[in-house]
Amino acid sequence: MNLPPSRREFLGRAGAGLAAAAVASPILAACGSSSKSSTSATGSSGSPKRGGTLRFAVAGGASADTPDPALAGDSFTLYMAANLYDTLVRADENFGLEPALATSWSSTPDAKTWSFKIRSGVTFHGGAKLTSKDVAYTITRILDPKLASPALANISPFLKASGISAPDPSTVKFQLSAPNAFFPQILAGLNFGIIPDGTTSFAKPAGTGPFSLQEFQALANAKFARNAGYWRSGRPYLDGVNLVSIAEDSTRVQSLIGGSEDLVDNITGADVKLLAAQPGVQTLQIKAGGWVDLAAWGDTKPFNDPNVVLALKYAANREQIMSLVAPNAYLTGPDIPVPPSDPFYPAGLKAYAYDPDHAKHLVQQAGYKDGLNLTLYAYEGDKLDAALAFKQSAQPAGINIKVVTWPHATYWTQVWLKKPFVGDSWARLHTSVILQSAFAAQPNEFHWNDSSFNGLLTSAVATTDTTKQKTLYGDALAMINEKTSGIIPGWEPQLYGASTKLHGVELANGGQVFLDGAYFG
Amino acid sequence: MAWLAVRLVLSLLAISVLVFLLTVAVPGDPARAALGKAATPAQLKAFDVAHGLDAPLWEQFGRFLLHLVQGQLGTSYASGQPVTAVIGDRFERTFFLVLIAWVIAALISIPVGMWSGRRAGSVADSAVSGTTLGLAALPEFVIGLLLVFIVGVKLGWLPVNSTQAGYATTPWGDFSSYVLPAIAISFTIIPYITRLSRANAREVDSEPYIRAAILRGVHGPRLSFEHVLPNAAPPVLNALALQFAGSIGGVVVTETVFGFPGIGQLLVQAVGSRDLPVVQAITIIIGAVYVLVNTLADAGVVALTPRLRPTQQAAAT
Repeated sequence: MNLPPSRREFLGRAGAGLAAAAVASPILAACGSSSKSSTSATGSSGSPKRGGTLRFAVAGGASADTPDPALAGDSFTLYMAANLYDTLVRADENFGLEPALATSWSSTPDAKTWSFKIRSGVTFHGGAKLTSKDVAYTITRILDPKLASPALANISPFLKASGISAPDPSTVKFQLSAPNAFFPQILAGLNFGIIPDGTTSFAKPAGTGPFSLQEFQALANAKFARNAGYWRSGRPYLDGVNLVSIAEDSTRVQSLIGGSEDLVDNITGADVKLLAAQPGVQTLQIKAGGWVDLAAWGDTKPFNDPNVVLALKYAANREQIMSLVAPNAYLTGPDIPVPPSDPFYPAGLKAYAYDPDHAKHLVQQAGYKDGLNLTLYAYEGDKLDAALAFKQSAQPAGINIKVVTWPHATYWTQVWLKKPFVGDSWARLHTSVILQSAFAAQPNEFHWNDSSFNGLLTSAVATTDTTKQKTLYGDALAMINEKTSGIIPGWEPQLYGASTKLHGVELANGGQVFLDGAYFG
Repeated sequence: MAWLAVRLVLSLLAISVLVFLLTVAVPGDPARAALGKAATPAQLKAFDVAHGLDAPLWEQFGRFLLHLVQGQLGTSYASGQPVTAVIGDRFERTFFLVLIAWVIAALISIPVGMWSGRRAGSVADSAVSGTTLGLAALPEFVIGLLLVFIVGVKLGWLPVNSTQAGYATTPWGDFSSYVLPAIAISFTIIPYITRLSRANAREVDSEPYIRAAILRGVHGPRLSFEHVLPNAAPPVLNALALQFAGSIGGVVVTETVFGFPGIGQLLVQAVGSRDLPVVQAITIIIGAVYVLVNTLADAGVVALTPRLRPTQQAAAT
């Protein structure tokens, strides 16, 4: 009896989310629709109330976890980083920026020299005053390869440690080694949480964030207390936050329903239905949390034949694939890594409509009279779901796909970039970042290497003119949709379950959950 | 007793060899798992050198054994911390959890088994047999999730998850977090021990000396506890000990279901992230408990069974 909601119902929910987004401030808009009705988590239940401790159960957690923001990687450490530290700027769901520890920022027109004004009167949890020196130290530290920060790969192509300077206590300057119009978006990443100058130990971490860390045991729990001196006046509203790690999905969801937890992460599309039937709980979501794809090597037989690539695109029933990958909460779209809500989404771009007859015709034209036989590799989860659904949808087109379920343990070393046809999934990243790392970097999973495409990317990051950027990215995305040998059937949400008493939780991409505005009402 | 000690050391050595071979046979690259998808070849190489993973296998094994003899369990690849610090309080929590489960199981299954065995063939006996068979057929995670759903969510008597156990400095500081997982674990022990107690009680019950006791007018609890129990106990005791050791290794599922911060939960995560020193340490600890408890149980059986005592054995031969 686990029927998916009717199309109408689904659209109705999506509409409610958009309506809420339209009236709320940009960052609050990140809190998507509730599964219950049109009320969103940030709903209008009067002014925020002070007090209470938020209990937050998290699927992630590893013995290697540390409160060092530069090393945050799994969800548990990202939630810690988001609430212990502040970045210079904060990015919303669509990478729109709002000031945080920087009050303003600007660049030269060539996007090569960036200058950030640091907020005055901000103190770290230990009581030290924030200055530009702390910012310079934080970024320099991440550029040290010995630290092995996951953020190193994002920033090192554009910045060397010698390019960082702090001309006065309230200014930080970055002289980039290559232009980047989206440099502030990089610094919005949680790994760039600002720490005091000279910090080497995180036994008693000091940040400027809304909460300070009281207790931490990797793979178990973290206890936070309210930072009374937080610079966002009045915030945070909560007295504290207790983060615990519960790997088992059912226990996490039942803990929410039973009232042992107020917020849980990583719930599934099936849970959306379950929670909708329970009193006192709701669903929070970011609609375009990440995308799934089926990637083929465009320079290798049979994918080097444009007819074969086109046949694959026509043979994908996107609705059917996504309803299996993310039931009750998915988006479909063209074969691009940018969702419709993104400012760089090219308005006119259309997904290839499912047309197995035309696909069959193209397969015949490519010379496969008896049909096309392919082997597709994937591992358990969204990748395998997408692969199996595609197998079914491609069958009527005479495309016979053998799906090989590979163990997760060796997938990244033996399959990814090693086999010519794989299932993969990516988190949503900024347009400039994802186009670079999934399509321009060599080798990539599509074996796509096109100098005119690379040129568009280089020009887009080298101009601060937003109209120009939009045109350049529009052309690049259209190129991917038509030419790359990959299918991107759609988007999966980032889903959270929450008590209906909880308001003001702010969600952003990459598993960012900000609790400074959260309160019980 | 000396040969018990020798057997203990030999068993531990055999376990260490097996654990090392099994963990290196596990596919996957520890460096890739620790540093992630974005790591450069240079970063991966540096990691291998830092953790001695570039050395030949026999050399790695030698170092592993040497550290083990010195009481060192190595350094976690993932966190860079000593394994003993990573395992720390977790072992204590798991041990206490299994102990509670074991006591619950012993208190229920021995009396119920004895009671049922002395009424073999009755309706009550059939009911006990049926129930224990049904329980034995239920997988651990089903029992765990049922307890979460019924006792935690529907009745609200106990915490739905056991995560709060991690905040307490002592097990009794947050005892309520231990109850549900302990019950879940005890459900894996109860069916077997109940059936074993029943079979033994039944067997002893038909022995001539029990008949003689009954004819002398001994009956009721006195007969059960003074005459049947001492004779039915040794095999049950041995089985209980094995179950205790087995449960220490079997907590993986239950701890994961309840979010209980013990070694089982850590083991699952360490296997996932290819943190071999942590995996090796935990499996060796579990193995050591197994061997130790088994040895103690053997000694206990010898102490409880007059005809197995060394002096009498010597006298008999």
